Amino acid sequence: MDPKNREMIADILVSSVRGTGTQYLAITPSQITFSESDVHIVTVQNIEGTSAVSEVT
Amino acid sequence: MASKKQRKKLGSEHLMRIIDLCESVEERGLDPFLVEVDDVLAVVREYFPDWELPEELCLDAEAVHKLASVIKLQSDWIKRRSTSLYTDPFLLEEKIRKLGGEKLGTMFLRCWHPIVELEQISSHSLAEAIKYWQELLPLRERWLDFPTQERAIGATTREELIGQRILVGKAFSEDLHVLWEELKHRVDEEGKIRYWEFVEADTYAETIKRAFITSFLVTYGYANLEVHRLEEEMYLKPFDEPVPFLEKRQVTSLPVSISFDEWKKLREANQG
Repeated sequence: MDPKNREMIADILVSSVRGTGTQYLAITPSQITFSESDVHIVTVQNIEGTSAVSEVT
Repeated sequence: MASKKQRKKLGSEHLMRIIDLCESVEERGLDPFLVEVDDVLAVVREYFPDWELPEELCLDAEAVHKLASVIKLQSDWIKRRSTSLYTDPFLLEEKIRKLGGEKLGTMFLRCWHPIVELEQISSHSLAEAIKYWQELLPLRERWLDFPTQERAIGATTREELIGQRILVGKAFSEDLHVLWEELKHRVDEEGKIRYWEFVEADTYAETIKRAFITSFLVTYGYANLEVHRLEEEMYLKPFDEPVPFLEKRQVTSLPVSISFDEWKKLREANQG
C-alpha cells in the first residue's frame, strides 16, 4: 500500500476498535504509521540471528 | 361469370404464386411439407384448359417443374430421416412416458456402466507398512513442543523508533497538506505553475521527496497535472478542494523521470 492508504487503513483500524473494550493485534513488517498515543507498540527485530523484543514506553 | 381474359389473368397470378412458393422452399431450405402438393396440383389442373399461347403453357410447365423439385425435396427429407436413425424428440418423449417404472429400471440397468476401482496391497507392501508402524516413535515424543527460549523484553521510545525509521514521526497526510498549501500559494495568475519549478529543491533527495509527494497530490485529487506535449512542459494546477477519485473523467498514468543529471541541468539552468 502507498503511504497515504496505509495511514488511512491504520486510522480506520484504530477508530473501529476504540471504545469497544476489545484489543486488536496488527502485525506488520513495514513502517508503522500509528500516531495515536494509546496504541501499544512492540517491535521484534532479528539481530544477528537473535530476536530482540522491545516495547515502547 | 368472369371473362376468359380475367380468368387467364387470375390463373397466371396463381401460377406465379405457386412458383414463388416453391422457389422460396428450395432456396431458403424451408420445410418442403409446407407445400400442399394436392392443392397446388388441383389449381394447376383447374387453369390448364385455358392456356393457348406458348407463354402461358411455359408458365404452366414451370409451375409443374417447381412443384416436382419440392416433391423431390420431400422425398429426400423422408429418406434422410428414415435411414440416419433419427428419432423425433416428441415421439421419444411419448414413448418414455408410456414406459412403466419397471421397464424404465430395466432399460437403465442395461445401459448403465459404472466405473469401478479396485485397489490391492501385496504381502510385501503389507510387511513394509507393519515395519514402518512398529518403528514409529510414540506420540508424546513425536509431538514435542518446539524448543523456545524466554527473552527479556527491552524498552524503547517513540523517538528511537522514529530515528530507526520504524515509526513515522509525522503523518504522511500532514506533509501532503503542507505541500498542497505551498502549491496553492505559488501558482501564477492563471492558477498554475511549471512542474519542474515546483518540485526543484536545493538537494537531489529533497527534489525526489517533493516529486513523490506531488504525485500523491495529483493522484488523490488535490491538483491536476497538465501536459503540453508540443512545448514539452508540464503544469500543476491545484484545486481549492480535493476532487474525489471517481469523479475524474479519465485516469491515466504518466511516468516522470528525475535523474541526477537532469536535476543538475535544471539547477544550472535556473541558477544561470
